[in-house]
Amino acid sequence: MQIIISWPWFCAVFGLLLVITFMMSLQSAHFYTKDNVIYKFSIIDLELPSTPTELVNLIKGLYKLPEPLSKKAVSALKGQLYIDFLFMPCAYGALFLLCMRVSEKMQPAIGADIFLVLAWLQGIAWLCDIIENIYLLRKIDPNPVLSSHSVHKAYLYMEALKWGIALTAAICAVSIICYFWLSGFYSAGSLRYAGIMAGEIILFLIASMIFLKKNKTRAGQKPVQA
Amino acid sequence: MANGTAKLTIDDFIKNNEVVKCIDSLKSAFPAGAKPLVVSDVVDGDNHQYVNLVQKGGGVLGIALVGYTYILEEMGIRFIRLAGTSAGAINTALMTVIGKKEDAKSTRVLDAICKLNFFDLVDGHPAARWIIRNFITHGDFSAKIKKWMTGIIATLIILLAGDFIFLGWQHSVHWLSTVTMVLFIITGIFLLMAGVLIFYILSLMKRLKNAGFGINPGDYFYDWIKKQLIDNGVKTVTDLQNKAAEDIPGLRLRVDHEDGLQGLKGDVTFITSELVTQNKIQFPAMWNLFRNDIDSLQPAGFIRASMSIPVFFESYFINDIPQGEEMKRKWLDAFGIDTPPANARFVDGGILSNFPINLFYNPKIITPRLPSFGIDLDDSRPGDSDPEPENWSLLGYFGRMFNTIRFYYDKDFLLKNKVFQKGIGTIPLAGYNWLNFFLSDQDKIDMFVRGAKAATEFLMKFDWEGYKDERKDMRKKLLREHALDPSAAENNLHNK
Repeated sequence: MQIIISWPWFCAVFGLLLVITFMMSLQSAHFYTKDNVIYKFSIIDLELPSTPTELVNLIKGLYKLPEPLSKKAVSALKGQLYIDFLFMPCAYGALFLLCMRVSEKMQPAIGADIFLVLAWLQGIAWLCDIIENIYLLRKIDPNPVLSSHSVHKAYLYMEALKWGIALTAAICAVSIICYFWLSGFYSAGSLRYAGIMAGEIILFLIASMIFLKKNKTRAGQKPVQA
Repeated sequence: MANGTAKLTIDDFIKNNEVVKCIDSLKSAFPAGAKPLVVSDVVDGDNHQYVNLVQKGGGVLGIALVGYTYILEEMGIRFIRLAGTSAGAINTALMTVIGKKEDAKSTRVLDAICKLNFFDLVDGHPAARWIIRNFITHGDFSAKIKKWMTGIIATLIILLAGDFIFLGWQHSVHWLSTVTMVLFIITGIFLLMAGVLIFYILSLMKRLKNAGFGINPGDYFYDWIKKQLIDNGVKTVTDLQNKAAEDIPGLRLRVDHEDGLQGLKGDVTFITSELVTQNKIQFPAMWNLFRNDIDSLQPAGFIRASMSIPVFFESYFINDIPQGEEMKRKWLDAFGIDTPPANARFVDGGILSNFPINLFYNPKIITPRLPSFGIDLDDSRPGDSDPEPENWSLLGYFGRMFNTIRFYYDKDFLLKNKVFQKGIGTIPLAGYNWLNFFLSDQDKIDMFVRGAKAATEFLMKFDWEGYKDERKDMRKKLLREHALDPSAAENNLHNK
């Protein structure tokens, strides 16, 4: 366990996370749906719909698109939800490692315990994400079932729990790392890993700028032609 | 009723002292036997007098329209032809479908409104509802936004300053390191919340674009008005047209007229603006420009189209318009367009004609058998007519430009046909925001009372014989113009 809770492992998981994010971004270029007009949507629109009807309309709209746009949109969405199962261990794993690293360095002990709890809470967030993906995958159909208001409310609470746990862990860990860095409370060796992470992020941004722009232009032309 | 508490009853409106006083004063001014109120030559078996009625659009101010029609009905006035835009279209629709032509309908319209929680009509995203509830419905919402922004920026500055002060201080007071860490976390959480807020605003802007630049889908209203129509036996456009044109038992003329009862048939018109071909559309009359089968359209859609306040509500669409030769001919005849649009997109008719009284103008009529009544809503404040144009803000400048364009169509008609002004009563509603869907019960009653008072004042002054004379003079003037310059008079007739 001690070997895993280390910066090299964090860098590896973080790198993998960026690679999967990049793949998902390529897929999301095909995320179009149709209501009165054809428009682009994001996975967040599926995760946080304001009403059950909104979610159903968004999914129905995938099948109202002209071909081949409809087929592409449906397969991209399903593909992204499947890839998300790979993304989850990386995302929640990275947060787990980050919180564990902070917990190890944390003084006083109560702080260490809080970060320990935050680290293990990522398991709950992961579970919520799995349930969410299964729920959405089952909904993707030309005639999706309209959820009751109580089911929809439970779904939104689950989303709030998932995002709440993940974002709280991320923000608390990053804030404390900033504190350590500004107080000079870090080992010189860890700077190497900060450099690796910065490199990974730069590579991700460059790849996104090149490939996503191309992909967006290609995908974006289709609705206009349709 | 306000905000869903559903406590208001019809009696709260019609038994209000001011409203009762209005009716009493009218009844004593026009005692039934001695000096009855005369507003029309068209009467039915029960001596109801018939007029045409146009109701102006004005968002939630529409409650005042009901106060006005209530008084007219209490004084025995009924309506043959009805027209309206936006909120006026909603009242028009309800007055058309409820009961029979000879029935008084305002109390039943009121009942439908009492059961409606206005804020349910704001059926957009919860965040948008929150913003509308807390900002837009308040008069001075820009000041409120400024206050919030100042608060956020000030908190951020204090937190960042605190972080650095404690970071330095902890070297001399060791236990402060824990406080510093907590402060860092609070700063992080605050930044996260600010980030989420920005992300949310951006995503709302995106949603607005995706939704055809409408904050609220308007589905709740569509379902509500559809239910009102169905509950009153109107399921199709044919039902609506039949209901509007149904016969009135014992209809007759008080005085002889060369046309007799010919052409005195009821109808209903809702005005909407079509953006693809940029035209004013009159529903249901123009249904055949959008479908070959009349009943493949939903009558509730006409009213939904008429009340699509731009940005506040999503546009209303009619998609897949047939493209056959017959349809091409209809569009060519109606608008000179030889290719019908595949899809039509409608917004509030108020941007073109918020007060469509011109619908009831018939240049062939020499002596009118009945007047056209109009209900105007005036929410302008005394300061609104600022005589110093150099002092206007950018928003005020654009607002005036927009209003000049949108009101001139109706204003031009009234300027050229001043006799129609005689049939118009204005309800003063200064101080009310037409988009305030959070009206209190008292506000609703007050608006109703203002409508009732305006109707009373109007009826006290209305002179039917004078109206007829002026209308005859107008006709003579047109004929004189025709004799002097037939082409100019012909143009004038067409313009009117």
